[in-house]
Amino acid sequence: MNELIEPSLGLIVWTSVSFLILMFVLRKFAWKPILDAVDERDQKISKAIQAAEEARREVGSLAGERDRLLADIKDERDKIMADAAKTRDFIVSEAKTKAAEETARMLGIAREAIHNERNAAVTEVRNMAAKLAIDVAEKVLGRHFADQARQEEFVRSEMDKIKLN
Amino acid sequence: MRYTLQKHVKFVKLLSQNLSKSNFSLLSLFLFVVFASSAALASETATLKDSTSTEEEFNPVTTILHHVLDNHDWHLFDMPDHDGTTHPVSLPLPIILYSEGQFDIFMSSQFEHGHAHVNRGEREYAMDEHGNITDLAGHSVLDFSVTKNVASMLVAILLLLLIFTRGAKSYEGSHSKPVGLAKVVEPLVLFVRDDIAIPNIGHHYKRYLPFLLTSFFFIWINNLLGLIPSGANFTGNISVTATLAVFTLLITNFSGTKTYWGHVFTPHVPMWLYPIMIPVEMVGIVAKPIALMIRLFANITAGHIIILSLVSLIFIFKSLLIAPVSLAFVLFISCIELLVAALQAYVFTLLSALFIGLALEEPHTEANH
Repeated sequence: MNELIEPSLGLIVWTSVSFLILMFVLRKFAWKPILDAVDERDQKISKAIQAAEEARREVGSLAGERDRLLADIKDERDKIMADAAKTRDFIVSEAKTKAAEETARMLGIAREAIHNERNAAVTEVRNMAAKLAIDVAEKVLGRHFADQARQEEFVRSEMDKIKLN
Repeated sequence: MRYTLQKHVKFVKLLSQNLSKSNFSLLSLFLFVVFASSAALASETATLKDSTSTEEEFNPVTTILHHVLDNHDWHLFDMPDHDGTTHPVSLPLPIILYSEGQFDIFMSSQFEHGHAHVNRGEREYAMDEHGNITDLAGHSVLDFSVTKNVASMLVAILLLLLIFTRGAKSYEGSHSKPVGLAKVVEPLVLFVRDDIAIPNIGHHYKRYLPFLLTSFFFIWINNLLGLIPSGANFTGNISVTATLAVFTLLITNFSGTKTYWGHVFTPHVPMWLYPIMIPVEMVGIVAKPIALMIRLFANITAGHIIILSLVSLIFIFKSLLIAPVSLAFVLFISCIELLVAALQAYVFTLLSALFIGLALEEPHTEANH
């Protein structure tokens, strides 16, 4: 039974030599390439993740920029609209005043013309009345009225003839 | 030591994940191996029984020891001759002897299983039934033969080289994920790195990784080869586990920091306790690798002995009826042994890493003690 725990020199030598050689060979041809490749890949992956994060952040900032621009544009539009409204109001009111002025001017002119026309008409009426009066007087003076009543009727009829319109 | 339990659980999980991932073919292969091994062992024991039954009773102890110990040839099976006697059929292995300043190299078949002497020049060698070779003239003989264990180890090394150099090759070119053999190799390599080396050793882990990786896979694959019927009991040999433990001992103590040696020679105890504490600490240095050596040796040898004992039951009871029971137990134990093969490789590597980590201790961690 104690053969089980009896060390054997040959086996010890073979094991140690083989193990050492195996360790150095595997270190050069297996462990180093495998671990280097894994490390490289890990780095690549973490770099890719970083890049993705950066890109996402960039996209986020671009979205912010876009929103800002949109807000600016909206402001601008509002301002333009407000200006336009103001201009419109100004133009409208301007037009209104101008129209009113024009109307007033026209009215003035018309009034003046009317006035002048009226004056002219009145003058003419006066002249005509005077002429008629003279005519009537001529006629009156040319005829002899028998009675007062007929006289008055005559005048009235004459007066009726010279209706002013 | 706080890791061990959760790490064990994690390791078993990793194993079972890998097993379940690689579909049923692996399982069926495993079952085939187990059944074949049981059958092979049974036939082997049967032939042994045949050869011995004529003169003596079947002795399970000799049979089991024969299988557990090292041999000068690789015994495959026994063949009955035309006249009824059985002859062992085995693979002869090279015998390398060093005696009187001379190397003698010949094949083990020349001993005819211990029945013949071998002459080399004026030296005559004989081999006893335990495989010990002596010089008949009484000179001391150093035996560097390629025994069954050595041959098995060389097969394991060949497999390791094949698997891992090819695994490393599949990393050529840039891939975003492991391809080919790397799919199998990478999780295991990273397991050793991330769950054994880094947590125990810390940021100096890179220097020790080749040793830890090599010992993990070396022990594992040798454990597995030992489970194959008529395989060698390489990792269940005290010489082998002692050699591996000595590597750990050397690495641990050569990388010992001032703090580590401080713990040994100036422990934090009153001065008058030094005569007790220093020897205790020195014993501790040696006890750790001895524990490694015995753990691996005992676990693997015990597994082999259990399986062989279960098969021997058939011949002890001299009844075929016991065979199904026996084989069922062999199947069960073989499953456990398959796990133990990986687990012991893991434990050896984990404890090596732990000892290295303790030796690398920096002063600032002293406060935590």
